[in-house]
Amino acid sequence: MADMLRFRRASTGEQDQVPARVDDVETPAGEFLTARVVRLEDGTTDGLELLQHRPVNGDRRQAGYLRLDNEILAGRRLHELAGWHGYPPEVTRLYGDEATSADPFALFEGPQGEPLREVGEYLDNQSFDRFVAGLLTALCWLAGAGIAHRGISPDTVTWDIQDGTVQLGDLSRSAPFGAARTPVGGSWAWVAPESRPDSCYGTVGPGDDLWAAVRLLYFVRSRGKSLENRGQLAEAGLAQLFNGMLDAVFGPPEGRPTARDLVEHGLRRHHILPSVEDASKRLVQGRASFLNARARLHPDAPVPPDFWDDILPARGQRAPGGPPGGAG
Amino acid sequence: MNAVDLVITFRARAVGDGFAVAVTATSTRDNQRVATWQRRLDPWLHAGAAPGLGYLDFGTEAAFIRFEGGGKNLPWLSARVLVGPSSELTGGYALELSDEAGGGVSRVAAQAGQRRQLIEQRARSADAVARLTPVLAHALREERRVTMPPVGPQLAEAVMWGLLAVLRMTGDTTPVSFLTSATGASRSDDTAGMLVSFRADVPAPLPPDPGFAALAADLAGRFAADPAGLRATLASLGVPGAADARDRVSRLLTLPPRAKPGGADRGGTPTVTINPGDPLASTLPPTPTPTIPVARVAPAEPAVMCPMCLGDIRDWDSLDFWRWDPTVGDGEYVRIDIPSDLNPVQRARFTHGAYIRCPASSDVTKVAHYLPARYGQFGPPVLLGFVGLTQSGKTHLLASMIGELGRLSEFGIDVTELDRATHHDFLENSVKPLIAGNKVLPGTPDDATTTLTDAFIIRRGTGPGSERVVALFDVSGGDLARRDTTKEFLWIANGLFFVIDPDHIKASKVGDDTFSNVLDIMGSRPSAQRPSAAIVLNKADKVRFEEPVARWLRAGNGDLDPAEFLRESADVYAYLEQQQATALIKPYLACAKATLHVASPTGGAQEGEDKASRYPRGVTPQRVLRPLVAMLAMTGVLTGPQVEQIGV
Repeated sequence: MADMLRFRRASTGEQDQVPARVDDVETPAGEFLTARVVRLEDGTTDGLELLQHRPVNGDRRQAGYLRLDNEILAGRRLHELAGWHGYPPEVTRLYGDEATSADPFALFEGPQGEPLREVGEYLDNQSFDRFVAGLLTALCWLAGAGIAHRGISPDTVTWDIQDGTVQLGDLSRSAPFGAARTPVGGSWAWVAPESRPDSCYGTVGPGDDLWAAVRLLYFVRSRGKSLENRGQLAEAGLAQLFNGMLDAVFGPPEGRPTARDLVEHGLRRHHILPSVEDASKRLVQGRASFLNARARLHPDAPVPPDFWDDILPARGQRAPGGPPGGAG
Repeated sequence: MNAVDLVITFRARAVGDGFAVAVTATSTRDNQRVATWQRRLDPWLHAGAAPGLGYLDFGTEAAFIRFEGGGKNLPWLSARVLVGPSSELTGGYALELSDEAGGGVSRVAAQAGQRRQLIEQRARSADAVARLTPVLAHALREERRVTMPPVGPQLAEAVMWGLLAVLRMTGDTTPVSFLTSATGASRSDDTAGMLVSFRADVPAPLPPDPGFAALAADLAGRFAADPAGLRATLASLGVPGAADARDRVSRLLTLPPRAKPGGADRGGTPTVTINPGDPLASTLPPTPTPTIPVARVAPAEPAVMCPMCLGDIRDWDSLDFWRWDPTVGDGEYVRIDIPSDLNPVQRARFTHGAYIRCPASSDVTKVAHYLPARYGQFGPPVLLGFVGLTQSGKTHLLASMIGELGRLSEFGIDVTELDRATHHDFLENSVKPLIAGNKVLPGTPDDATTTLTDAFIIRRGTGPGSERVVALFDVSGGDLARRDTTKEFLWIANGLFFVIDPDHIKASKVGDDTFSNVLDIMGSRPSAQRPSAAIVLNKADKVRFEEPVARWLRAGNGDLDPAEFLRESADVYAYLEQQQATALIKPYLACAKATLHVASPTGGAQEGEDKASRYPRGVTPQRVLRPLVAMLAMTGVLTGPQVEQIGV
């Protein structure tokens, strides 16, 4: 007999309740989360099959709540960003969530394809080209939503051999730009230095994901090898492919190119960029409005020179103390 | 049982602006245990500096760290850690180990006690005794965190050895952890009992309570003169057998006079003279006899204003002392009769935890009201109030703020409760049920009179005005919404937290009643006395998936960078503006200085609407200290060119 599942639909933001059959078998999903199959009885013959992510039980449950929040935040932001453009197939899709009760959950559509850990070495040149474009497109969408994935690896990115499409999954470690970086566990081959437990510092930003993403490009290009030194990027043809921009990827996160930079100035393929609004646009507008009010109250108070640095790192783009265009 | 059952050696290496710690050698193959200890010690390894020692009592187990090396970019290069049961690897044991203690577990055991004679001699030196006194005073007063300015490594070790020796002689078995050389506060707070840190960023010790300072000076002097004699005297008075700390202090105050007080005129400044005594005279270099003044601090001018009746209280020092006596009727304040022939230590005992009665209470038209005796002793107190609609979460915000006060040390701020009884009541009735019990707290009753919820002595830096009393008031939302009930404290409040529940933002005329009534009073005050405001989007977990709330809720505790406060203020201002909640922005426009914040006192929602319900996800406060830090900066409790920019 079906249970009634109450949740918030990600595409509309409206509350819904749908009869659902829940599978008993649970598997790990992301960090401190478990997944089980649910079938929503939506009128189709077999029902709509989704994965229900829930926090683990036990002493990691508190951490599980936070990871589930990460998934829901990223999923909701992507839906808001996509709007009528349509949700990007390059990123795992949140179907709905229940975020307020003691037993919260998130409903995700199943992953497309197999993890690159298993199929990465079988991509031919043509597939690799689609893989590069797909991965960078996924990262552009995430950056547009103001989210860093923070867990890119051959285990969290899938490749659909049939369709030749890539999908970024497991949003459990993701965080919004501006959040304080929290340590990320796992193999150091896939965790950037600024997020490792022994050297974690600073705030999450648009450069965070590029470190692991470029390593993943090499992993696929070299048919399953780990990047040991930067010279291998040239040997694999990646340094040339990206017009020499990859050197900065392995420096401090503040100086890294973004995914959009790699597409525009590395690959020089503007046409594959998704036309999404910059996540910082609203923040910039809001802050400018505040600074106007502040200027009326405290006309002599200067704007700190680093005021915009957290959302507009490229200071050359604006006048000192002001947003792009010199406003404020 | 061995005192040491695990040895780990760490190495530091520079990473970016900081440094990372890696294990270089261990005495075990149990990698999981080593990893556990590395995680546990990491914040302490990042706080320590060379040359220095750390002893950390975690309850059943303890760790002893020796920091060595170090240079321009690293506070230390190598750190050797001994781990063992805290019953065996005690602080005293660790300090007595040889400087050269190397090798494995068995080698360490063979070195136990090698330095005892040397370190005891150092601990009884005049330099050590002078520094021991404030630490011991804080220990006797059961302070959990004591910070001291940096001293040489040997002197710091001697002070700690002396402290442990005296405490154990009195029968005090409180665990004591220490860092003899620290670069700043540790991010961790997981040690048991007391923690003493000699920190490079602390210019002077927090002055202890004068009475406890006098008692500590007396004990330290006796220890320096004749440790065995002190032990015998304490035993004869039954001090080691005291039932609890309070009983122990009571018995210590019965110590027979050892030296004649220096101030014969009790109307003048009494002093306690420390006499090192003859036995040490032959072994220690002659040093000047330190004289520690124990004067009562004069009241600040101008007069302190009573926060309850707005009356001026002059001659604070001349007022009678009162104490709360629960055995009289349903409990009432009774005057303390202080015999005129008491020495300063005995007088301190009588007045410890005392209150004064506001002189306006003598007016028959006014209800008698009382304030902690120390309330007026640190200049004009800073009064902070919480303003918001009923159910906006003011009480929960206040409780979680006070529960997290210890983390103010991350900002270089020391906090001491002003009145132990008041603080204890608030901890027991609000903080513990919320933080440890995950319970929903009852709101402030609408008919409650305005009372001091809690108050603290806040200190950052040194010099005049570095210590201020900060008093916190909670008032029911219902009271504030009624125009006929104007809370007296609003007329003299230095700062107000305007607390907003996200659910109220979209309600019609939101804030019109509560905020507008309060702002009316603000407008009636002389402009020079306009208070500061911290507008807090409280219960922000309700909107935790919305921008910019998500970003700020996850931004950590941050630091004192004024640009960071301005960014958060700008983003929250814009958020409220987008929601067309212009009434909630008014305090920003009306107050002299203002900041805006997001905060979540609980981290999640309660289960259902039942007042007796709990927070099913547990209580994990987020960003609750930021509004308080901003307020301390805006009201002048914190000073300096950087913090003065906060709120403008």
